[in-house]
Amino acid sequence: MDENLYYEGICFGGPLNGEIMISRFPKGILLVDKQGNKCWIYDWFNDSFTVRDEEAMEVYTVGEKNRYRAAEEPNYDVIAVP
Amino acid sequence: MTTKAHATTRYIASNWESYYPSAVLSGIVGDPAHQARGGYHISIEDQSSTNYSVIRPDDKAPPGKWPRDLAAAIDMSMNTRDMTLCSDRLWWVWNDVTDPRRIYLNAFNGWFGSGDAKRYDFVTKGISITTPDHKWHVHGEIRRKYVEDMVAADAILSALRGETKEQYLAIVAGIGDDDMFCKYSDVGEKVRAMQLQLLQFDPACLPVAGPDSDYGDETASALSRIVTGGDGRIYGADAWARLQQLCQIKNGSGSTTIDWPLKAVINFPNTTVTLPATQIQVDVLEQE
Repeated sequence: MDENLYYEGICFGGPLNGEIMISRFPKGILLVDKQGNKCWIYDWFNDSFTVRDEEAMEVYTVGEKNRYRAAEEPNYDVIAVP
Repeated sequence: MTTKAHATTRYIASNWESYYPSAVLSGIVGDPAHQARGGYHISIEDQSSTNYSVIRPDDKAPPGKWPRDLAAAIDMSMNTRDMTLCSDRLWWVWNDVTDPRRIYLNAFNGWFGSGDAKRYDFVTKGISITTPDHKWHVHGEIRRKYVEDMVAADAILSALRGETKEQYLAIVAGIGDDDMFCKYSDVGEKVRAMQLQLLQFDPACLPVAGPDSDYGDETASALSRIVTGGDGRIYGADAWARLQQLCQIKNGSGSTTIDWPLKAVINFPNTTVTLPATQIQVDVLEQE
């Protein structure tokens, strides 16, 4: 991957608060805790990632908004909780 | 853009997720930006004919007859523990040139919990530093020839489950359910497993038919010459054990010892591994 296709910056809020992360996609990161069935959206803005909601959302594997669809779309990088 | 994910690739991804508690699928088909630079997430027809992912013999079509519209890579994101475990399992297959499962894989990019993420090429056996996003996901590349092949899928899943080469071969050969592994005129997976192992020992031993799953004259001749003597028409337990031994001897020749930097992390009792010195290459490449 070319470095100019990275979106790299510090994360604000949620489980990644203070971490430097990389997304390969322009809208940000979908952070997934599979075992806890939770997820957080981090939006890419001003060279950083900001959690959209501190409160975790439920992870869906079917339906309109599911994590597999996110993995297929070129918007958010789907990343497991470190 | 016409790149698609085949059901076989989705089958691998779905099972891969199930083997690691933290694993979540991060992608199979590349996005438009990915398409611009090419690679195994992009189909043959959606990228340059000179891209690294479409020029090797098991990738290039034509002359190959495999599909030109399929992605051949999976990105699986995992936590550090699972990244290390998964990378380690794939590394053992990468490291053993006699492991028949490696014939289905082109490369993987992985991380062992410290240092750089690295790319391990199954074809050249080279190692290169890869981009840091591979600290969050393992990138696995399937040789395009096998992207629809369920035998290949099960072999790759065996590696991802952490099965040893011997366990995989025993499963494929059906040890315990038959008093003979295979014999002349048999057709099927047992024959193919044996042929692949013969090819690991001698890549030129099946020059006409290759690993075609058909136990014919060429296979019998190769088995006779390399392993059994006689007419080579029976591949039983003795021949199987002898072939494993021959491959191990071949794999161990002309080698040198290097430190495996993650021995403490992966907690194996043997703290060093051996690799053919001439096949180790560390350099910086920008791939995947």
